Amino acid sequence: MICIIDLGYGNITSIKKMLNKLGYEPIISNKLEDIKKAKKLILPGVGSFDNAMSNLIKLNLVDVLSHEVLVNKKHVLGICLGMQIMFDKSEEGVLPGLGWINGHVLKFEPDSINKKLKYPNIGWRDVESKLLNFYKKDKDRFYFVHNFYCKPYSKDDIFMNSYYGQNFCAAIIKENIIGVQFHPEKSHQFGMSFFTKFLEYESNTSFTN
Amino acid sequence: MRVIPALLIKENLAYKGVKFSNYKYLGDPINIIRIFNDKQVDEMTLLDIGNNSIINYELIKKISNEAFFPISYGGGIDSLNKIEKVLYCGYERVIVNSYQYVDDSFLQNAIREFGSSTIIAAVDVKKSLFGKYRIYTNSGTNKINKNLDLLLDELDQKGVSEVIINSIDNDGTKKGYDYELIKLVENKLVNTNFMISGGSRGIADFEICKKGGIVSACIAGSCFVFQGKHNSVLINYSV
Repeated sequence: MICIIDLGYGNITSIKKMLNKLGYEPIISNKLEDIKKAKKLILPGVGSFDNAMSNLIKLNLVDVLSHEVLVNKKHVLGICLGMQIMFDKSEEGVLPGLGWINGHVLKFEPDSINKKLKYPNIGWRDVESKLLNFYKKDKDRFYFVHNFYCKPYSKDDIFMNSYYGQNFCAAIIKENIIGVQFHPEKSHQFGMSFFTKFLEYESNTSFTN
Repeated sequence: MRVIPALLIKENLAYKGVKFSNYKYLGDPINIIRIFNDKQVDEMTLLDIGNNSIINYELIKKISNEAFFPISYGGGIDSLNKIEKVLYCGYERVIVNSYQYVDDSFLQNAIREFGSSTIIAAVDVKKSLFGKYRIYTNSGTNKINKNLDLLLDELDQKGVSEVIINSIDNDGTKKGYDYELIKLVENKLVNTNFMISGGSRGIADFEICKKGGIVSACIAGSCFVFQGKHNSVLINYSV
């Protein structure tokens, strides 16, 4: 079972629809028992950092999610803000994040060389990816909309890099955890192929094996 | 630079007009989305031009569910609750137009709640007889007394995701974008991306805008949906 975690709002229906198209029947839920039962978790996110965190707190999900991900090693995919809240903290808010990935989330600073560059970073960007058994594609292309980017403390956690005035981490990967800054659900066949790899990979095994 | 088709809906159907009126019926929006999927459009804007004090969530949900590309929604956005519901229907970004003039703090409140990359401000302008740009609201029906320069200065400080500048005079005319307007906006929006809309002829305008490197996106309606001098409905764009 695939559970898309419902945080009140976010790109949930688009994710579900793309998964449907790929032949999966995910459920959308924020119930503890569904999260416990699920084999794969998807943590979506549109909104602000504190808003997403306070929703998780309100729904009493912080502990159960951390337990499923860190102890039970359940596969989780964080999308956009869903990736950012996996980190320790963000410049966008004051609440601590989930802390699954060591690092923080920073605001893009206007580029001193290329003054024309404006933020957020919106549009299709090329990404360069680490080659893994899980993911044998060194180049890909996805849709981004974001003002903040993730900076993991360990380079080992970086899965994909992209460039917008500066290099930034476009995706992280750590054992059973994947986070992507882009929106695979809005990235046509590139996104479909990405979801397929995540969903077909054998549950509870490390993505970096 | 991105090229973005704009889709206008009214009572469940898709239309395209000229200068914000004379709307021509295009078809079922869901079919149009399917064509856009096949053509792999990068992005789309969806605007409800009907009586949109009530948002048709059922329809916009159907539309977004069909699309595997990002869509921004505009039309009738006058509360945080409506933004929340629209996002829940599967939209990445929400466009605020008329209501930004009613409540000065609305954009900021929306940014605080939903993040700055989620909120787009749209501004509709029309030239007066004396050649000055005037701001209009409510689908071009209502002229408001606010200086465009001043508004752009304010928007540049608010931290919205992007600003859409819409030329009512050029809308649907296929005579090209209003480059004088682009120049004016460029000088005002130093921190904020803006998309130009109204009058696109197609490739010619996209190339000029790409070369200029000023606008972040070209929005186009007619050139994607009409073809030839009789404006037959096409919903396709071949180069």
